[in-house]
Amino acid sequence: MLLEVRKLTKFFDAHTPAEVRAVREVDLDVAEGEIVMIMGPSGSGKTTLLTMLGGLLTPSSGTISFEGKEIGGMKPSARVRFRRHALGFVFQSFNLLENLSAIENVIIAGFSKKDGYVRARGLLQRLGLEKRMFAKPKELSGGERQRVGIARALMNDPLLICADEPTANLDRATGHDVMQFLCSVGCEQQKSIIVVSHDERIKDIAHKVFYMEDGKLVRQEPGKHGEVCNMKSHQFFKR
Amino acid sequence: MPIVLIAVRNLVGEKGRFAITAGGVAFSVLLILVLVGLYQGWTVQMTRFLGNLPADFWIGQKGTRDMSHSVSLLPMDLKDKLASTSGVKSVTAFVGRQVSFELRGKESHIFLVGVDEEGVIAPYKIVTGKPRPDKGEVIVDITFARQENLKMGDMLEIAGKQLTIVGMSEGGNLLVYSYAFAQEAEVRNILKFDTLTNYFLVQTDDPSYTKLTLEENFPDVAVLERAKFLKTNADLVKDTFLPIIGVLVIIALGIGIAVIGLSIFTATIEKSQEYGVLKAIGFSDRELFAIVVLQSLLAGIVGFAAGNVFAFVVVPLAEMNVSGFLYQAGFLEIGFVFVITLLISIVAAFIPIRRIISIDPVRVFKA
Repeated sequence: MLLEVRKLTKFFDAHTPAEVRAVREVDLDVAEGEIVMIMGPSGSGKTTLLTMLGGLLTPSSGTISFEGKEIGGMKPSARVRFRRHALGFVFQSFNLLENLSAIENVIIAGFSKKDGYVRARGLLQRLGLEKRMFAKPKELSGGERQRVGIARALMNDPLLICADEPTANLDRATGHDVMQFLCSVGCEQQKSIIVVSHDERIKDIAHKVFYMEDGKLVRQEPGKHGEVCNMKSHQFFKR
Repeated sequence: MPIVLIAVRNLVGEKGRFAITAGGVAFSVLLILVLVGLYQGWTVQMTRFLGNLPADFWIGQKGTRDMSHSVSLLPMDLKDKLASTSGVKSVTAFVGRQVSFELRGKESHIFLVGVDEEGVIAPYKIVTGKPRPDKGEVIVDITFARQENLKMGDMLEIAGKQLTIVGMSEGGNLLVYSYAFAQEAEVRNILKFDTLTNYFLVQTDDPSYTKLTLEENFPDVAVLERAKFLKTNADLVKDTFLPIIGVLVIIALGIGIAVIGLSIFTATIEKSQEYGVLKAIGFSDRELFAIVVLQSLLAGIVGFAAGNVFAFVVVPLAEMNVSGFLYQAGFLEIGFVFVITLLISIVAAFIPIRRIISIDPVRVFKA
C-alpha cells in the first residue's frame, strides 16, 4: 500500500470556544496506481485532509504512512523533501507563476534535473500544449493552464498526485478533458491520484469514491474506473 | 536552475518596479562613488605638490609633523651644516606659509611658496603662462583663479607687495587654501624670513644610512622621511573629512537598503501566493530566500552599473563647474563601492525574510 491513513484528525483552535474539528478519525488506503476520489460539500474537510496527506499540515492526531514511513512525525525539512520528490500537486486555481512561461512553470518543479527542459517539453507535448509552451499563463485558457498544472505535478515523477478541485474553475467539457488527462496519467504511469472535489460528474474515473461530511468519511463506493477507462483512448502518455 | 530562473523572471516581469529599484540604487551608488572619489581625490591632491618635490627627507623644527598643524622655523645657517653631512647630495631651503590678503574687498588665503633660483621648488604643473615667476610676479592655482575670477595680468596685493599673475598651475588646490608661487627672495621679504626658513629638502645617496647620520648630528631638528611626511600631510584629509564622508556614506547605504528592501518587500507581498505554491511543491525556505537574495543582488548590480554610468556623466560636469571637486576613483575605489553595493543588496534581502518564512503553503489551496 502506498498510503495508509489511520484515525487522522485535525482540530483548529483546539481547546478554545472556537474549536473546529475539520477532520475526524479518517481511515484511508491508497494503492499504487489507484485513483481515489474524495467527494463532499464545501467545508466538509476535504481540502484539510488533502493538505495533511500532502505533508503541508500537521495532524492533531492519527497517522499517515507513505510507503511505510510516517509523514506526521517528519521534521519540516524532511517534509519539504517528501513533497519535492514523492508528491505532485494540482490546484483548483492552477497557481502558475505568472511571470514564467508554460514550460518554465513546468521546469521549476523538476528543480535541478539535468534534462529538465527536455522532460518539461515532452510532458507539455503529450498534454497537447506543444504550441503553447512559451505562452505566459495569462495568455492561456483555463483548460490549458490546468494542463500546465498537471505537467508541473508530473515533472518530478511523483508517486502520488494530490488534486484539489481540479475542475472547479473549468467548464464541463474542459473539466472532462482534464480528468481524462489525470486518468491517463494514473493508468499509464501507475501514479496514485487523490482527487478532492464536489463535482459528481467526474467521480466515474476513480477506482474508489469516498464521501466526506463534517470531517468524517461517511461512505465509500466503488468507482466506475473499469467501465469508463479505455486504455486505448489514452493517447497522451504512450511510452 | 529554477531559483535563477524565477528570480530573473520576477525582476524583468515587473519592469517599472525594477527600473525604480535599479534607479534608486544607482543614485545611492553615485553618491557613495562621488564621496569615495572625492576623499581619494582630496587625499592625493593634498600631497601632489609636496610629493613632486625632490626630497628624501624634510628637515623641520623639532616637533613638526606636517605643514598644517604647526609652523616650522629653522635658521638658514643650518643649510650648510646639513650639506656637509656625510651622504647628503643636496639641500634646498623651502619657504612657504599661509598668508591672508584682501581681494576685491574680502579676505582671501593662499599658501605662498618661494621658488628657489635653481628651480628645485616649482609648481606641480603649469597650465598657462610662465613656469617660473620673476620679481613682482606670482603663479596662482587655476582653481583659486576660477574661484576668485582672476585672469593673467591681474594684481594681488600681499603684505603691501604688488604681485602680477603671470602663470597658473594645477595640483595645488587644498580646499581651504591653494598654493601660489613667487620668487624665494620676494616670499622671504613678505614673510620677514631673512635668516629663517620653514624646511630644508634633503636628497641623499642612501636614505636609510643618512637618516641615522642626520638624527645623530642634528638632534634638535625633526628628520622627516619623505613617505611619512607625505602621509602625515595627507592624514589631514582623513582626520578632517573622513568622519563627515563616513556619515554621508552611511546615509547613502541606508537609502540603498531602503530602496531595494522596500521594493523586494512589496514584491514579496505581491508574490506571496506564488511563494506559497513554491513551498507547496517542495521549495525550502532557504531556496525561497535565495530567490529574494538573487533578485536583490541583480537589482543591486544593475543599479551599480547605472550608478557608474551616472558618475561618468555627472563627475566631468561637476569638475567643470565646481571648484574643489577633486574626484579620483580607480579600480580600488570602484571595487570598494561594488562590494558596498553587494552588502546593501544582501542586507536589503533580509527585510522580507520573516514574511517569506511566515507564508503558509496551505493558503494556495484556497480558491
